[in-house]
Amino acid sequence: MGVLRTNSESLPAAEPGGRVSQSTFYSRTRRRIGYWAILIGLIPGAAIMFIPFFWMYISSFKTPKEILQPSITWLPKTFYTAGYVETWQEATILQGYGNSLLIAGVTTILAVFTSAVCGYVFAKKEFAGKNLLFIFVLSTIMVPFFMLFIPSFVLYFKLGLKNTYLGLILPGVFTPFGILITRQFLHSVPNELLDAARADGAGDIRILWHIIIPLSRSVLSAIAILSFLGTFNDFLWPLVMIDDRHMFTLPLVLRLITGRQATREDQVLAAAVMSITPILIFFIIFQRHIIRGIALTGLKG
Amino acid sequence: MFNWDLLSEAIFVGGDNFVKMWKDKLFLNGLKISFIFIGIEVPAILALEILFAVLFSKLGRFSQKVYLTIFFMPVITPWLVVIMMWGFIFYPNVGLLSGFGQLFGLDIVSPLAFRDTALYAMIVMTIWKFVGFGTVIFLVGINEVPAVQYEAAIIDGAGPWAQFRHITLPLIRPILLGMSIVSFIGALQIFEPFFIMTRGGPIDATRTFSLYLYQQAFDQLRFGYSSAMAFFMFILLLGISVIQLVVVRSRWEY
Repeated sequence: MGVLRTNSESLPAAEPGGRVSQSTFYSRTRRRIGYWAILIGLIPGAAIMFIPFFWMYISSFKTPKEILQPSITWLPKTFYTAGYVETWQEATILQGYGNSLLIAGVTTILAVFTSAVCGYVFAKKEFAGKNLLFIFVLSTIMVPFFMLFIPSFVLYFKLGLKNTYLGLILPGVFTPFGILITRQFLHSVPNELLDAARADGAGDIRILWHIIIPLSRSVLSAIAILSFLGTFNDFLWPLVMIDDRHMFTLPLVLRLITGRQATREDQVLAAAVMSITPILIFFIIFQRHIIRGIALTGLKG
Repeated sequence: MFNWDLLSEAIFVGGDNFVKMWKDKLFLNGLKISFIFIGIEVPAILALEILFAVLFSKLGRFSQKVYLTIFFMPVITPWLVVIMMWGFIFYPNVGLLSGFGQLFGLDIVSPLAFRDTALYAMIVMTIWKFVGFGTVIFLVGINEVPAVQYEAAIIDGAGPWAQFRHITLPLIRPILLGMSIVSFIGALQIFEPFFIMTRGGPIDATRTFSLYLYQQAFDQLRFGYSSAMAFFMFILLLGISVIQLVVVRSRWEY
């Protein structure tokens, strides 16, 4: 799978003469056994990772009574969907989804754009104070979130951005990490290419749009994925910024449902399933890109 | 450094907030809880991540893909859903965990109900959520190791452990360093499970530093005090990161 290649096939299997020698044969058999041992040995680990998901899906079709039975039942006795119907009718989930998608979508587009522009400028342009400015950007990576949490809250509060979409979008628009990895990547783009484009009369905007962005697609898509997941799943910042129920993001809606006075277990499970299913489908479709993107940024960082 | 509730004017109180911190039992308790959490969670998750990465690197293309997908699912799942799922696992008497306990004749009530176990339950849940992330990163690092090195080692008669100790580990050292700092800071900032699941209880046993910081600011409206705590932690983290950097560099330099 792309970058995540394995080493297992790289041992030479045959002697130069084409005949499989005795010792290679034994080591190959041993590798085979080792391979299967690992494959099977990992099953319990995978089961632990997977069972909570499986149980959540199965139980969301159980009656509230059956969910709270002392003994584990794997398959529901009756196919019960009232939890889904009721949660759906309340429509807060859908609204939460809409809000989260809007915020995460806009943030992601802007974050990718700023990363591309700033990465390009830092990698290929010369101006006074560039290094100082870059060190300044870098230093913001080092500052952990909770340090900035209260000052930023106070700032946004004073700017009147509480209960606005803008207040949720702005913090994610500039990602120093994104700027850093785009810059590192663009260093490897030869200057001659840009000079040639400039000789053909392309301005900075055209260079950015037709050369820089297409070339750094892999890096930018990694930034997009991380930025989207981060914004979509964020809880703490929306929690303090938003009190208006119509603007609740998905995590806040979920908290509303779990935190209710008389919690209905079937509704909780239905809400969990409804909120996670699109994310999981998205992940399974783009699994290769997402994992590669994470790996890419991990190695750089 | 101010006494400030956001609505009135801030009053400058100098270093008072920093002095107050050391007399605040809940703050000290929060520090303690956070460091117990980090002290167990970070080494455990790093060890598991490396273990799974090594095992995954031996798999074939398809099986690796399947396992990676499964291990990565919790990473992309929002904390809120993770908390819901694990809420049912830890449910008193009828949860999955007590159900499994019954299979073996054990009577497990709920780990969240006791001061001794609640924090460990949180640690297990956190590891479950994040182990896939580091596994992917270590796996890439391990795959960067040239196969020739292993072949040479096998010819020299090195077993799996020796291969790991003398080839893999030294070569993934930079990633280990990065991941240990990232996990450390990440573990300190974990907030949702404590805020929603345990609410700091039972009896402050899971009132971590980050939860206390939030509660001081947004429940008690002591923004100045809360900022002082954040600033203190920042300085502490900076120090720890520098030490980590120095220790890892010096111990493993060849």
